[in-house]
Amino acid sequence: MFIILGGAHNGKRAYVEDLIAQLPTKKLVKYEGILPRIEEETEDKRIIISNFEQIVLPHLHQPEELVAQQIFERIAETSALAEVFCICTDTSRGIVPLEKEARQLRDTCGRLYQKLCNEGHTVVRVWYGIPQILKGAHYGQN
Amino acid sequence: MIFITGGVRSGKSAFAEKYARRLGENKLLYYVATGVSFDDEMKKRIVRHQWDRQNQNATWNTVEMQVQIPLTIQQLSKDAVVLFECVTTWLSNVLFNYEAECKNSEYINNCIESLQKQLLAWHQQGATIVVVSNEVLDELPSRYNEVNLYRKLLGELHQWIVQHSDEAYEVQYQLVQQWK
Repeated sequence: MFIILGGAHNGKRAYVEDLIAQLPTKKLVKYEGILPRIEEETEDKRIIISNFEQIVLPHLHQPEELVAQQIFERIAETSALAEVFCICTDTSRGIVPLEKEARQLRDTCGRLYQKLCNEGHTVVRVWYGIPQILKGAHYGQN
Repeated sequence: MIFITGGVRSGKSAFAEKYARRLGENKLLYYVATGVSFDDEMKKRIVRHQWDRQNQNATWNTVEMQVQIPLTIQQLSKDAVVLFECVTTWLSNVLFNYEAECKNSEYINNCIESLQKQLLAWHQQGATIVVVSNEVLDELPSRYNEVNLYRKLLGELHQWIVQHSDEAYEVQYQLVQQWK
């Protein structure tokens, strides 16, 4: 599983598309703001999951750890069947939001990203179009 | 072109000024200030920046601007060093004018394009450009559309600047990471 981290509008999506163009061709399926349906996934597929805020949002009435773990497990199961790229928008470095729901959203996404980064074989931070490998082969390189 | 960003009070301005001065004593230093002193707090910030520059062994030609690059500095020699500070306040000025004067959205694109053209023109003239900006994109989207538009425009402009820069740096509490 590939994890792509970075602030909003930093070029994460374009980076993933460039990366994919260099890999052997597979059927590409994009899930924006929704989780993949496991029963539909087969090994020849490549999956991009993005907009985790939208995925987390309907579950904020439940405890942070539980929500993060459930979403993580779904993605990990998918990752066992298909090649998964997670685009994670970093929202963890601003002022603490005034609204409780926004704080929970930010916390839950953070908890989820920790699990994803722990599981992923490659973690890349993208800064205005420049990648830096935080985990995996070529660690520390661009 | 050299791009330098960082969080608030990260030391990015000091790093940018030092970088510009190190380019040589024979250089003509231009400080292009985009901050508008609309209140006391902004005035204090500006005075602090002026004071910092006065306490250096270098002579800065300060040029104040809001949106359009003044005619006097559109054409520069290869000995010129332009420290443009900063992209975030410049873009705020653009969006402020856009709102205040009820201009159409073309206005924003035209402003951004003309800034990009000027940066490339300075580069072609042989001048060295040091562009300073802020890291403000690592938080949740705002509930205000204007702020989200600002975030999108700023992120895209940063990507463009980094792409056209020879060097790009991120400053965190005086620690400097060279990305490019």
